[in-house]
Amino acid sequence: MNLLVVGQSHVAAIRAAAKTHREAFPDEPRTRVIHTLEEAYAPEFENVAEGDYSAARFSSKLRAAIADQMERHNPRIASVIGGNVHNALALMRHPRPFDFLLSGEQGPPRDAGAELIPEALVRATLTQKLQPDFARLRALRAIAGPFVHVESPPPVRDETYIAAHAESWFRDRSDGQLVVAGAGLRWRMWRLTSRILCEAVQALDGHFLQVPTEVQGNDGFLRLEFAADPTHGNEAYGEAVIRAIEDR
Amino acid sequence: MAEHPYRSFPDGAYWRRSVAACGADVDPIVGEFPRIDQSDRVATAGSCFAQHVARHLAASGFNYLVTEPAHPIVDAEAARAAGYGVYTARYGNIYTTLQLVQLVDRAYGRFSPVEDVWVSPDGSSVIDPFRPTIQPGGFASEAEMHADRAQHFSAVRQALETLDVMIFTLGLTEGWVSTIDGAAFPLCPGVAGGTFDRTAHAFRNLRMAEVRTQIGAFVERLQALNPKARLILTVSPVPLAATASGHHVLPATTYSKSVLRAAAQEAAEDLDGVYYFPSYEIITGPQARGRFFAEDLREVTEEGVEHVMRVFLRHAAGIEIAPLAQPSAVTDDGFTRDMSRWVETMCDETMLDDQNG
Repeated sequence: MNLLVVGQSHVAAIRAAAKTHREAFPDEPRTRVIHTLEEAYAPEFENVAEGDYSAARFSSKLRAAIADQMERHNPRIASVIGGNVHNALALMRHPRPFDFLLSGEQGPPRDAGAELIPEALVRATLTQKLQPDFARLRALRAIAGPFVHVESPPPVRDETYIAAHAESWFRDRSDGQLVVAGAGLRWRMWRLTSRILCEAVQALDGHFLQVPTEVQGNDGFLRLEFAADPTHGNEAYGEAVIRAIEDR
Repeated sequence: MAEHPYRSFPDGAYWRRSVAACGADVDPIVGEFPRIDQSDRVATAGSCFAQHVARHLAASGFNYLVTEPAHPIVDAEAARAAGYGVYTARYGNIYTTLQLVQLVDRAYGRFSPVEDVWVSPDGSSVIDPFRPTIQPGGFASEAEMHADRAQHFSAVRQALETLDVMIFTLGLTEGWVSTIDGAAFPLCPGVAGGTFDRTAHAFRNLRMAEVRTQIGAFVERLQALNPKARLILTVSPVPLAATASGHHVLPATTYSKSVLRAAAQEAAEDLDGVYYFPSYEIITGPQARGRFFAEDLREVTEEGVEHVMRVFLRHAAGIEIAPLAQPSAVTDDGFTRDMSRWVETMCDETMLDDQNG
């Protein structure tokens, strides 16, 4: 089955895995990706005014690219849209450390020294910051109909790994003090974001696909052999995700 | 002409000169009023009218003390809806002096009410009985509510121990208490959570002596923690949304406001560092001819609030704010503006009427 995976930074793992597979098995169905932020499609959106994404749709170039792929290859459509808002908020330890209790799940213990923010307020904050991703999901639905959305990669537990590999985006914002947030907070932010996105995808009649269990350790964190960096999966991760989409 | 004491009194002692002649612009402060410097940490608490005081203080260059600010990651709109920054700490509306004293005792571990968790009306979340509307939708779990409450108490202690001036707006005499340990609830159980139980919950309508004693008890606690702290009392001009007294709501309101007003006067006369500011008179006095009340004859218009704050700032800080242009007629824009501001003022007492309506 041909696949078309639409997203942003998380398409890299898919693209790498797809390339390797294509080279090994050139006659088999292909997985293709569209990165909505690539220069060729800019600007990504139309109808966005002053941060209001309620009427947003993909640009004509982006719409045409997706439609062309659909017409030529009749692929199963999948999304890895977004997937880094939780990292922007909680990969690094905030100067005013915070944590929250996640309802219905145990997870790692709360950082006792951190300020508690009620879950509802963390959810409201994530929801506000996810507006561009919600718009992307709606825009994709308008073109492609119901689709599969793949949960973003679980957090890496190892703080040393994160500190050593932190991406420049986060490093630049750490003001020279690179302190990784506690594993518990990172876990909870990922889980809550997944819940919010699951609700959004289901509201669009889509299917929210949890990350394959094989990429997770017993504690649910991302196994290091599937990590490209502190926030993204690698080629092996991409291969596992492609199989999960195909098996869906 | 015979001499008598009235001959030497200032204009403010005479109704004709200082009220009838001034109309709604009356400035009813005579004599000394406590000065507030810009460096003084000013805290606020009380009934919903106090939200306006807090809003204007924050916008007037005062050192408005907030010891429980929202975390900076939290969306500003969501934070305000959750009561952050509305008052010095996230205690919500404190309607009665009973609640005020209780808050101090709870914050310092001297009182732990037996009934300290409610379930939301739809059963999906947990409500703090002593801040029943502070968390929209309720807390996700009992553990979260307790953790948030512990954090809140820490902020209350910090406020009490570091403030220079506290402005407290007395709102109500009526309230509901636990029959088990006397714990005072800001809202009747069952209105915004919990279950009303006639054997566990009782109505109380405080008497003047009780309110006066409770103000004294609060001041004693406050000044033991913070000897230099000053307290400015005001009485909310907002009438009761509903009464459980068995009387008509109009005389019930008059009783409630009269008790609060008299207790505030006595406290200001009896206690060092305690003052009274007449916002109640500015809004409700006949000189205003009702113009400071909104269409529902209950909420105070933004014009009224601004006049109150103009008088307050003049005497407390020596700041003179230009009076608003007098509107010749109500305009849609003015109405919309006032309503928008009022919608922002969360007066959960109105939930009583919503429940019965």
